[in-house]
Amino acid sequence: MKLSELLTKDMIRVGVKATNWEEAIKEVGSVLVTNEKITEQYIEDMIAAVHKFGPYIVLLPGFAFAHAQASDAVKEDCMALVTLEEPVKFNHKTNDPVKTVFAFGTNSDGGHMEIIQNLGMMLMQPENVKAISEAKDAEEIMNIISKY
Amino acid sequence: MSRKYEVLCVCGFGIGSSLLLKMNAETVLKNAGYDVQVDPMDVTSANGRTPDLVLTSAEIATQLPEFSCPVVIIENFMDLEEIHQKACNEIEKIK
Repeated sequence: MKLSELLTKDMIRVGVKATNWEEAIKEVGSVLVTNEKITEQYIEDMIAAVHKFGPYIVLLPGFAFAHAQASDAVKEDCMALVTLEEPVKFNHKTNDPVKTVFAFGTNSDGGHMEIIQNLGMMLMQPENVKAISEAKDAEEIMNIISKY
Repeated sequence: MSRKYEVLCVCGFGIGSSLLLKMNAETVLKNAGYDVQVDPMDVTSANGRTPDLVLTSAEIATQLPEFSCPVVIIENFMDLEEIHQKACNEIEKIK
């Protein structure tokens, strides 16, 4: 499955306001709630995950990959992405501050390896991460996403 | 004859970041010429497994069950250079 099949234009917001990492996760989660992909519970789960397991979800400088356990709080496999107006700190040793927050939800333990691999391919190119964080609108981000 | 090494990539839930870490670890270890089986896993399922090497984050390392093998902390799951250095270094030690 291609990244752009889940991460559609509706799932992207640019220049969102958040003053801390919890707000940033709430913002990206609310995109998924609005699109009826998850319940509010999954937002709480994603925040709880960082409290429990630490900020390792900040996979790259400036980029966080919010997610939680597969559960019924996720109606179907989904992804969303927001870029922040002002970056926030997740208290990661090397990758703060975070400008782009990505969210992933699934209700099954398997079956999404391919799309995560495609996300990985996209993230391996630092220029993609930079271009996404600096994009002026969702269209610009889609131009990058659609290659993977 | 070199043997096959079992590597576990452990994250909180085994659905997202551990898949990315698995993908990257598999790439660098295979490129380095090791015969490896790399599996993504959540903290709970990792219990009872007996891999040759565990890769995980600093915070999760403190919550893991006891492993008899080395547990290597990866700061940046997408940093191939870091994964290469740390993982190959450990495999050389247990070779």
